[in-house]
Parts: sequence; structure tokens; C-alpha cells
Amino acid sequence: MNVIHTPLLQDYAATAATLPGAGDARITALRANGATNYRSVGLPHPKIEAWKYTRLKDLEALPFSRAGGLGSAPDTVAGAGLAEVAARIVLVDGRFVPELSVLPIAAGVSVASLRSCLEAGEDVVVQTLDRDVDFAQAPLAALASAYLEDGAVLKVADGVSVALPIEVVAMSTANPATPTIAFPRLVVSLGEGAELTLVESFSGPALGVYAVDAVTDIAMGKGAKLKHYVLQHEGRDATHVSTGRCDLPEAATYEGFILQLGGKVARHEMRLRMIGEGSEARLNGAYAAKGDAICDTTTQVDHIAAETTTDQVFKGILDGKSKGIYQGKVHVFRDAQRIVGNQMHNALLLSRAAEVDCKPELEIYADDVKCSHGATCGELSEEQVFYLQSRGVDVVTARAMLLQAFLGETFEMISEASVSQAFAAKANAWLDERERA
Amino acid sequence: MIHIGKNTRSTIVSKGIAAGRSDNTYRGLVRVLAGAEGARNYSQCDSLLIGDKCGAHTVPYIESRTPFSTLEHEATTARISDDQLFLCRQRGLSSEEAVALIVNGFCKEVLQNLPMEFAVEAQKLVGISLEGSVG
Amino acid sequence: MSNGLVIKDLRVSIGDKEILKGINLTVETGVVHAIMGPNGSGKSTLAHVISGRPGYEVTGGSISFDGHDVLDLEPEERAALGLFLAFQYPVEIPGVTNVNFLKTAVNSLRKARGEKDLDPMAFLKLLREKAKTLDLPEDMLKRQLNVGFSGGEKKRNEMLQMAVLAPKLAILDETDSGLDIDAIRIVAAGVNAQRAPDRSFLVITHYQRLLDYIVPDVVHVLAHGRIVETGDADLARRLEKTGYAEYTTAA
Repeated sequence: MNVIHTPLLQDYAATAATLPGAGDARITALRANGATNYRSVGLPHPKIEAWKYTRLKDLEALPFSRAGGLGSAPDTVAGAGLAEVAARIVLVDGRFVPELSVLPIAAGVSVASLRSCLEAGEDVVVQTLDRDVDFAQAPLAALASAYLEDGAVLKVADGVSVALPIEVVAMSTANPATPTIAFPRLVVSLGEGAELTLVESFSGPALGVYAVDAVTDIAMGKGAKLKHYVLQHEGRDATHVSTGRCDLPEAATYEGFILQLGGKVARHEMRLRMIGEGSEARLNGAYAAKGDAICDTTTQVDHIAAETTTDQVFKGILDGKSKGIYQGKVHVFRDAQRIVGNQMHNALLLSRAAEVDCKPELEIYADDVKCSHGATCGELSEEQVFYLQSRGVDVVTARAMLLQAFLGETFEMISEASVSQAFAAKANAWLDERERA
Repeated sequence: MIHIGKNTRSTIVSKGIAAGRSDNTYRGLVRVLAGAEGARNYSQCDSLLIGDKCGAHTVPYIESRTPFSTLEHEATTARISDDQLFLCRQRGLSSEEAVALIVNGFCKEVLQNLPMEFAVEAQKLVGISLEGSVG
Repeated sequence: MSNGLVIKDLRVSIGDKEILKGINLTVETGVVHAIMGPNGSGKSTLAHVISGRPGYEVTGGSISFDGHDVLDLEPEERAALGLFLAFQYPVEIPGVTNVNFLKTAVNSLRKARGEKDLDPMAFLKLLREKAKTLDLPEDMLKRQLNVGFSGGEKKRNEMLQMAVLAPKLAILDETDSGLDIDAIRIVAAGVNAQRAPDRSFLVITHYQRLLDYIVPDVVHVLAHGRIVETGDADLARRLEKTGYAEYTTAA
């Protein structure tokens, strides 16, 4: 029998009464729904299909408490390393920090703190949060909603196209006295025909135990175009869980990329719902883990409307005693005819102690569909290494080149050149560091 | 499919057919233990859907604990297209014969590995269980 | 010291099977040797062992190049001595562009010789110039290494690498396999353009037709792991008529 383990709910009722918007029935319902679901499921365990491979051991074992105020706000903003952005929204321990942020001045683009939107009971925000979530498979997302408090709300008006990326930097602090967990929350609303490049970066101190439970809800208008790039480069001792959700109406397009390089246990989950005909999504990613890190990338794509297309390519490198996980589910609803859903996962194991677990899943209820998935895992090709050596390249350089090329292929799929370069640079820095170790 | 020994090889080919209101699920585990160096697995699961009330599920679990292994997995879904049916019928087949023909073509890769008597029997069974599924 | 490639009583096995049973071969600087022989005679094994491909066990004998014993050297160290292998099946490396690959190789070789990295502009100039002589379109340089190349393009790309890396000894491992006659002509023209007094070639082939275009100075016949006959270009022409029957029967 599995004992349901639900830490982090001490004095919940008293705390909830103090959270912003506590007088608004819709907001208290959101929180109560989160708390109820978290209570009934508890921390993830392998019996939950979506969490078969990843356990949040630190959350199970250590006495975590909610991250407090801005005890020691970092003075430098550790983002994705983009030279030019239209805006940079900084969250520290889940709380919006305007002093560290660079806010937009463009017409049709607005940024506000989630706290202020909850206090004002803003309709768009309330409607965008937690749409049709299966909390039975997502207990951490339920926990985040139970403590719905602050974060950022980004709105782009109908027809507005934001040329430069907007970056959201969610930074965490580590409290040496007691491990803390933060709940950064982002709400994005894109108007009809609006265009946006959104970069989310998650980071924290290199050393020190902390946890992050982040949720991003995105609502798109018809024909909107979103590029959504996520960089997870948390500290070595971090527990990171982040969830992104995006609904695509008619003719909307989504291009996503998930790069995960940090954390002790890290999981990013992205759910796309193709609810309008002719919507298209590409979701790619790369990850690298070493030491005894666990790196989990989970995607779910629901093809609800006909004539929708999704494409996914993920690649990972596992070194040391690390474990990599890719779970990708493509669900084709009845009547979602003439859809295309492809997914591919390639993993390289660099060490005898590393492990990779892969579960590409198809659930199809329509007959006129083209769905495929592929998965490979193995080592660096000795033949390729020899080919490089035979041209004079030494074996260390040859292996480094091949690793860079392996991940590099995914960065070429990022259509925003500045982000592609920045992400490639982050991955190469990871490889260099591994090389030196 | 659990690979424990060195240089072991395995292949899984699954062909699932769902017709009418049926659902068909493939759930398969391929696990390569540490020490199973040189292990190779190829798994493939293809689903054929006949009609728009049926479902196909493919849930492969691929777990590798050694770098010196090569694991490949592929899955596809297909249906019997109107064009295929029409071609067969235009050449004189009844729609049931046409479906049986197409389905047998789909299963051939796995059925042809059976001993003759079983293969014939299996083909007939596939035909019977699909009776009345089209039309 | 530049006395070329000297192979003495070379014995090579794969697993328990002996493939090369005592090869003696000297390829002097500036000379073109051809090795012909039936399938399975050990031709490709010889090419691989000279260039240091893993997977072969040398059970006896020696290989030296310009006075260096190469058997203990890594493949890249052999490349630095000036040994080049044109692969029978050029390897595809997704994600690595042709330009990046060649730049890394050129600079690795320069480093091994104690020279400085080539200036990027000078490198590009060299690359373009060589590509032009081989009639290679410039966009091929930007493409990923051998990925999606046709058979002919892959072999021409090997010739480009040879031209850029300028080896002292180039081993062509069945470069003609899978090529039509036009592609063979282009490849042969590439080789002939690079014939020089300080460069030797070891052309490994099953068929005589490549040797119509790359006329060798010396021809060897390899059968059952031994060099069974040595002659001049006429030997190749004779084999074209008689085939390898006389060698294959004498096991």
C-alpha cells in the first residue's frame, strides 16, 4: 500500500486566507481545487503513470517550507544570456520584482504582477489559470495552485507583434537554515494574430538545497504565433518541477524548445492542446545531465481539432550516474482527422552508470492520422570518432565535436537566431565543464 | 524484453488492428541492464485503424542502463484508405475481400514467420474477426 | 627521412580468423601502387590497419611510414604523419558541417606539426579553391558532413578532404565502388591532379576500370591474405581479361 505523502500543507487554511484575492470566490475555488487534489494524490510516486521514473526525493525527505520574502535578493540577473530583449521580467522565489525587471514600453504589451491581478480579480487571468488540468497526474501543479500567490502576467494585444524576445527570469534563493520551495507562476495572454517570442529561464544558486514548483499558463488568440523557449539551469542541489500549458486555437502556431542543464532532480512538463483547426506546433528540446542528477522531460500533445500538426524532437546526453527521462504522449481525439503527430527521442549515454528511460506514447481515436514516434539510445559512434581521428583530430576533440554536433542539431530548430545561439552557448559551456572535470 | 547478457539481440514487431468500436493496445517494456553490453533491440508497433470509432494505443517503455547498447523503436499508424478500397473493388473484389487483402498485407511481416499451417489459420482468423467491419 | 610506407610480414586477425597472412609491401615516395584482388582477400583490412581503424588485431610484422613505426600510433597521429584514407563508405556526421570538420582537421594537423592555426579567411580561400578544382558546388561545404550526399558526392568530398589535407600517402579504399563512369572520371581527375613527386598513392580496387584513369606504377594482386603477384599496369589489364579465377582456386 502506498502511503500518501503530503508535506507542505502545515497551517494551510490559515495561510490560504492571507493570500491575494482571498475574498474572490473564483480564486479561492482555484486554490481549494489545487489543495484538494494535492491532498488526495500527494507527492509523486511511480504508481502515477506520468511520474513512473522520477521521484522528488528531497521533497520527501527534507522539511521544506515555502520560500519567504526577499531575504537576500540576488544582485545579478542570471538569464539566458540574450543581448537584446523587449522586456525582462524577474521573479525571485516566485515573487515579481519590478526593481530588477526591465519593463516594456511598447504599445499593446503589458506586464503586471500576478498578485495585483488576483487582488483585482482580473477575468482574463482567472480564466487562463488551470484550464482542464488532470491533477491526478500532476500533483505538483496542484500544490502550486494551492499556494497561488504571485508571479507575472504578460499580455500582448490583438495584432501586436513583439519583435524582440521577452524574457522571464525565475530565480530562486537558497536558505542555509531550512530548505525552501518557491512557486513562480506565469500567465501569458496573446491576442488574435499577436506574435511573441517568450524565453523562460530558471536558475538559482550553484550550491544549496532549494526547490521550485513553477507553472506557466498560456492562452493564445486565433492565428497568434508564439515562440516559447525554456531554459532550466538550476543549481546542482535544486529540485525543479515546471509545467507549461498552452492551448492553440484556429490557425495558431507554436514553436517550443526546452533546454535542461541543471538541478539534482529536474522535470519540465509541457502540455499542448490543439483545439482549433489548422493549428501547428513544433516542440523540441535538449538536455544534459551528469553526477547523480535526474533530468525528466515530459510532453503531452492533445489533438482535439482536425487538421492539426505537431512535431517533436528531443535529444539528451547522460554522463556519470545520471538518469534521463523522456515521456511524450500524443493523444488524438475522436474526429481529429487528418492530423500529423511525430515525435523522436535520441539519447547518448557516456558512462556505464548512466541510465535513460523513454516512453513515447500514442493514444489514437481517429483513423485518418499520421502518427509516428521513434527512439534511440546508445553511445557515441566509434565509426564517427575514427573518421575524425583519421583526418588528424585527436580523440578528445573528436568526441567533443560529436557531442556538440549531437545537441547542436536541435538548436538549429530554434528559429529565433539570438536564442538559438544563446542556448547553444549554454549547452557548450556545459560540455566544456564536463570535459574539464 | 529484458536484456541481461552481453551481445544479446531482440526484435519486437507488433501489428495491431482495431475495427468497429474496438480499442487495441500495445504495451511493451524493453530493458537493458547494466552489463548487457552490445545489446540490440528493435521494436516496431504498427496500428491499422478501420473505421472512425476505434482506438489504438501504443505505450512502449524503453529503459537502458548501458551505453554500449543500441535500442530503436518505431511506431506508425495507418488506415485503409478509400482509394485503396476503391482500387480493389474496381478490380472486382468485394469490400470485405478488399479489407481482408489489405489487412493481410499489413500483417504479412509477422504472419509469414509462422509455420505454414498456423499462418493460414491466423489469416483466416483475422478475416473472420473483421467480418462486417466495413460497409 | 622519407622512404615511404614499408610493411613487413604483416599478420592481422579479426577474432580468431587470420585475414592478412604476411604482407610485404613498400610504397616509395611519389609512386602510385594499386592493390587488386577478389572480394574477401583482405584489401580493405590492409587499408584499415595502415590507418589504425579499431577492431583488428595485428599478430605480427610491422608497418613504418617515413621511418616511424605506425602500429603503436593513434589514428590522428598517423594522419599527422601524412597518411590519408579515403573511405569506401564515408561516414555521415549529422550536425557537423563540412567546413567546420575540415577546419578542425586542418588545424589539428598543423598543431601536430607545431604550426599555428590557419587564419579563417586563408582557410576558406584554400577550401573554395580546392572545391572549385573538383567542381564541387559551394553549398556542399556548408552542408552537414556527408549527410544526404549521393554516393558520388561522398566520394568527391573524400577527394576534397584529400586535396585540403595534402597527405604524403593517400590510400583509396575501393573509391570506385558504387560509382558510375562519370563519377569515376571526376574522382580520378581529382587524384591525378594531386599526383606529385612527394606524394604517393595506394589505390585499392576490385576492378581494373579505375586504373584506366589512374594509371599505376606498380600493381599487386592480393589473394587469401597474401600478395601473390606484382607487376606493372599491364598486370591490371591482364586481370581484366582473365579475372581472379587463377588466384581464388589456389587456396
